[in-house]
Amino acid sequence: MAQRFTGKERDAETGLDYFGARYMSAAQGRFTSPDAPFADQHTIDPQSWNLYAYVRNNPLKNTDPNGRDCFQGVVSCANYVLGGVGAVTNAFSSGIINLPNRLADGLVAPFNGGQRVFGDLVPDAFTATNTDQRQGMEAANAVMLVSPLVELGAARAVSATAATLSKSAPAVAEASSLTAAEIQAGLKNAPLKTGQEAISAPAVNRYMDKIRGGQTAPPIKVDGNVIVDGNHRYAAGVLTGKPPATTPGTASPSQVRNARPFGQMKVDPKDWGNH
Amino acid sequence: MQIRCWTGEVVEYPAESLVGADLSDKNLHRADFSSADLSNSNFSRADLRNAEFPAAKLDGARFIEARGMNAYFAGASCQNAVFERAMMSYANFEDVDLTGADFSGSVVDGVNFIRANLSGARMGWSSYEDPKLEGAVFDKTTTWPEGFNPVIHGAVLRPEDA
Repeated sequence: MAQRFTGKERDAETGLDYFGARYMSAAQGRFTSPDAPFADQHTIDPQSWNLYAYVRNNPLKNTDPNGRDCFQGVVSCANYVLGGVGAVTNAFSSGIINLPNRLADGLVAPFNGGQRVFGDLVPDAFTATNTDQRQGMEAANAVMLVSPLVELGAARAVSATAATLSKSAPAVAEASSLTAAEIQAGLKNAPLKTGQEAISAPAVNRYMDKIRGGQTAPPIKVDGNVIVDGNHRYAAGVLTGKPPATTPGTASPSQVRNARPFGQMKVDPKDWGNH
Repeated sequence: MQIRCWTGEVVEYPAESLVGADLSDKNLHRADFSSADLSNSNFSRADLRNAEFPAAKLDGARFIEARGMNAYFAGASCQNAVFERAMMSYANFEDVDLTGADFSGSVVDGVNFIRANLSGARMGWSSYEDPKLEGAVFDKTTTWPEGFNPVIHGAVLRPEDA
């Protein structure tokens, strides 16, 4: 093994560079396996849609330290991290993360129906001044908002910062059960669309438990970016950072007509009995 | 005949018509019954989650204890259909003729009854958070849960009964 331009070790037999999560073929400028779906894809950057591409086809500007996350230059990366730290700082200063009270509660205590976005109640100490900082703040806020344990205190704030640093920022949810409002908030930026009116929060929690238990959800059916079947599985996958695989399906006329962002779907607190 | 589902599943039914069909206890998740004649059919205890019945004829059909969350009935005719104790949360009954239908003991959270005809219907729901009733028409024989005021939710009493 020898270190190359990318700083990674190259396997002498295969000629592939080892990036931790994946191997990259320098000869082709491509990874040999796809990135995890939704891990580092962004609707505003088409270059990120190719799951095999290395540093979005711009190795002079971008870097990829682990095979999972593309950093767009040192300044961009620094701004992203700064945004994440700023979001956590705001959460502390606004009293949302209140360690003694939350620990005393011992349980999730949703505030304002779980709809509150960090920084709504009091002026924030940190304000994003560019896109990278804003994205960093959003990633940290998403993690802190969706994970009930975050509200318990500093441990989750640290976790959120770590997620921000990794720039993959899955909406981690490790509590035993999320409320309907917390699920609704956690799905706010889910990229697919749905024609379905509602999902059941207890059913989503059951699917999340299965994923945490190591089970892999069956693929969901999608037609373009509209979910044909598997809304509960998709919700659980987004909330655990492990979205299910997709297979092509055909949306019904009513699904096409009613298609809207997944995050706008109602989350019913009642149990529908889905398993 | 075959009943196609949008999941890709196909349910076989041993008859050439679904009029009066016994589909009780069947798994009909996302089944497609668009414009079908299902008069007097029996869907009791069937899994009808996300099933689609647009413009279907369901007069006299029975949905007793069926699970019809997110089911889609827009434009269907459901005269005297029976939904007793059915779980119909977030179903869509927009522009549906529900004259004489029976929803006793049913769960209709978030159900869309916009512009539905509810004349003579028994709406004794057991749970009804945020029902949508704008433009729905009812008459003096329509019955509602105790204390429920349909007019507040946008339903309209038939003029001849006012």
